[in-house]
Amino acid sequence: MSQVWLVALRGLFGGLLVMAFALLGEMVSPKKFAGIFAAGPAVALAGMSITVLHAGSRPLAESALGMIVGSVALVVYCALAVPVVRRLGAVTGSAAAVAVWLAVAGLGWWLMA
Amino acid sequence: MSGRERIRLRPSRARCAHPAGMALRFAFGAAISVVAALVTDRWGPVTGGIFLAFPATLAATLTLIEHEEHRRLPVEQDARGAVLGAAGMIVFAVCVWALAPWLPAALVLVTSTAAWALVAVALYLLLQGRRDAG
Repeated sequence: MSQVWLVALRGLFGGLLVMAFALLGEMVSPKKFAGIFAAGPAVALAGMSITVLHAGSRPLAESALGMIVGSVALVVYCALAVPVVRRLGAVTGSAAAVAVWLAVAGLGWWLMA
Repeated sequence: MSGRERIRLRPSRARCAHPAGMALRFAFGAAISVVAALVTDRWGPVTGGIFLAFPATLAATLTLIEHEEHRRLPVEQDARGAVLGAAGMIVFAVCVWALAPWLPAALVLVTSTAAWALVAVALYLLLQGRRDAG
């Protein structure tokens, strides 16, 4: 399979799984419990499944090592998201929280490298 | 008396999901999956792996509340619960990293997803229990 089709397949599968987790979140209550699904491993499951089908299981552990760093950044993002969005509004606040995620993930990557 | 609300699954509530919101979540999920793939191709699986924990679902949810004030409280509760899901993601990644060299890939992904769910739900119940006791 060509590289372009492989990337497109990752995109399609990633989008579908994120939607599936979001739907699961809509179906459960209470709302705070449903929030767990907003930080589910949808993108990871999609990406890792396609990786395994295409390249075997060897790159899986390396991807997971990077994902540990990204997940620590995700905890910081989630903890900051509410106060930042309340202060700056939805779009600016979301962008600021994503910038924090990038900064923490970048720091973790730098420490690991 | 405990004020704890029981955990419930109501499949019928899936019909209440807004198509525009679902489309936005699909777009975020697809975009970040493509970014993770391109970063992996260019800089290797460790750097690409970082983007597998990008807050795609929550970022999409948060941007939806700009013009929908009535959605602000549920979305804020979503974000608070997401901290627990994110803590579970660390466990998911550690499980994949530790098990991948030893077990078949499909079993690794199923076990790690179960570990994510177990940790996130256990943290939720623990925190709710402490709140009720306090």
